[in-house]
Amino acid sequence: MNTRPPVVELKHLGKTYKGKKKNVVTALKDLSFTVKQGEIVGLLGPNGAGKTTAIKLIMGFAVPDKGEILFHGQRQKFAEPRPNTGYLPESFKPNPHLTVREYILFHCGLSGIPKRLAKKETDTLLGHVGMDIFAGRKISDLSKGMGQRVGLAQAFVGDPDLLILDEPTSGLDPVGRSEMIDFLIAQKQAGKTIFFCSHILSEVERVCDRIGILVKGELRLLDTRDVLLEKTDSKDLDEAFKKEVLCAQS
Amino acid sequence: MLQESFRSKLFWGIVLFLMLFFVFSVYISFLSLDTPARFILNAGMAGLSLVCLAVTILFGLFSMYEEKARFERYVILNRIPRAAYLMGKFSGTVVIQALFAVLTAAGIFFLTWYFAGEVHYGIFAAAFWAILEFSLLMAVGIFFYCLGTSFPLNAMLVLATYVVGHSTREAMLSFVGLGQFGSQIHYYFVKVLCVVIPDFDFFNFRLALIHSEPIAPGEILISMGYWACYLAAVLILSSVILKQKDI
Repeated sequence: MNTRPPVVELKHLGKTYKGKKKNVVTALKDLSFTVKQGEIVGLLGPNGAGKTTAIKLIMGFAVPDKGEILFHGQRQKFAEPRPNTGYLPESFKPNPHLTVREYILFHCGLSGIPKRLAKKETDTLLGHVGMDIFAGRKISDLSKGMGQRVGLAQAFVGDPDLLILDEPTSGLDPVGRSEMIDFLIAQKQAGKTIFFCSHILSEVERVCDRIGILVKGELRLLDTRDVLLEKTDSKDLDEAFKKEVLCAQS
Repeated sequence: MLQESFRSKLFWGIVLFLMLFFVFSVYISFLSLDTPARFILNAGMAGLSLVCLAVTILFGLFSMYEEKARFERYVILNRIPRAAYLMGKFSGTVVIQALFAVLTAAGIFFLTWYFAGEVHYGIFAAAFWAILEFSLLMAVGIFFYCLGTSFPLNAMLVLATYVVGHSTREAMLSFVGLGQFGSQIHYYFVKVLCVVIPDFDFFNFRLALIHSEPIAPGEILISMGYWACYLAAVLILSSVILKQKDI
C-alpha cells in the first residue's frame, strides 16, 4: 500500500474578500482536495469561480480565512517562498528589458543556484521549452507565445517536483496551445506533478488525470473524466461542465 | 537592476535631463558678476536633487509597480522572502541613485573647474549626503507601496513627504518663535508630524559643503545615526506590512 502523503493537500480552505460598500465576497467555500505524485490535476471553472484564489492560497500569496495547506504532509506557512514549486501566473509577462538567457539566469540566482551551474541549467531549460535559439533575444522582441515559454522555463528553474500553472494557455494561438499541452504531457511522463487551472475544456480533457469543476468558490466535482461524465450523466465534458455551472447558479 | 536600467529609455532620458541642466547652470553662471562658480554650484545642487528624485520615483518605485502589473513579483516571491524582495528593490535603487549622484557631482566639478577655474572637492561629499537623503525617500516610497497605494498616489505621497520633510523644522521654529500661534493641539500635531515624517533637514549639509563652510563632527554623527535608525524602522515596518498582506 502506498503510504506516501500527497504532494498537495488542501483541507477545508475558505477565503472571503471585502468588496465595495463593505460587501463580503466569498471566493472559496470549504475547498478540499489532494494532488498525488506524478498526477496532472486540472481545475475547471467559469470566470470568477475562484480558481486564481485557490492557486494564490496554495502558493502562500493570500492567507485563507480557514483551512490548511500541506505539501508532502507538511503544513505550509503563509507568505513564505515555495522553493520546490514551479509557478506560472496568469497573464505573466517576463521583464522586457532582459534577454531570454539573462532572465532565466536571474531566476537561477534567486533560487540560489551557483553561477557555474546556472549557465548549464539555463541552456537545458531553454532547450526544453524550445527557446534555446532565442536565448540572446530581448524579451520585448518576443511574441506572447514565446514569452509564455520563457515563463514556463522560469517555472522549471531548480527542478521543482510540483508545477502550479494558472491558465497556462491563455492568450496563446492554437499552435502555441497545442505545444503547451504536449509539453505538459511530456512533463507528466518525466514524473512531475502538475496542478493547473483553465476554462478551456478541451485542453483539460486532453492532459488531466483528474478534473475538478469549481463554481462560485465551491468544488462541485473532482474525479477522472469518465467518472465525471457518469456522475453528471453527460456525453462529454462540455455538457458536464454546463450542467454543473447551471446547477450551482440555480 | 543596473543592467536593466542601461537598456531603459528612461535612464537615458534622465541622463539627457542632467546634460541640459549642466548647460543651464553654465548659462546662468555667465549672467553673474564675478561669482560664476557659485552659480554653477547652486544650480548643480538643485539639479542633483531633481535627478535623485526622478530616479527614486521613475526607476525605483515605477519598476516595482511594473513588476506588479506584469505578475512578475509572484514568481520572484515564490523564490525569496518578501523582506528580501523589498531589500533588493531598495538596494538596487540606491545603486542607481548613487550612480546618478556621482555622475552629477563629477559634471559640476568639471564645470566649476573649466568655466570658473575653481576646484571644489566638497561636491562629492554633497553627493554622498544626497544619496542618504534620497535613499530615505525611497524607503518611504516602499512603505507606501506596501500599504497598497497605486503608483500615481505613491508618487504624489513621496513628493509631499519630500516637501514636508524639508519644512518640519521650520514649522516647529514658527511655533516656538511665535509662541502663541495656534493651539496646543496644533503644536502637538506638528510635533508628531516631525517624528513621523522624515526630517530631511538632517541632510542639509550640501550647500555648506560645496561652499567650504565648517560643519561640526557631532552634527554629522547625529545625521548618520538618524538616517540609519529611520531607514531601519521604515524598512522593517514595510516588510512586516507586506508579510501580512494578500498580494
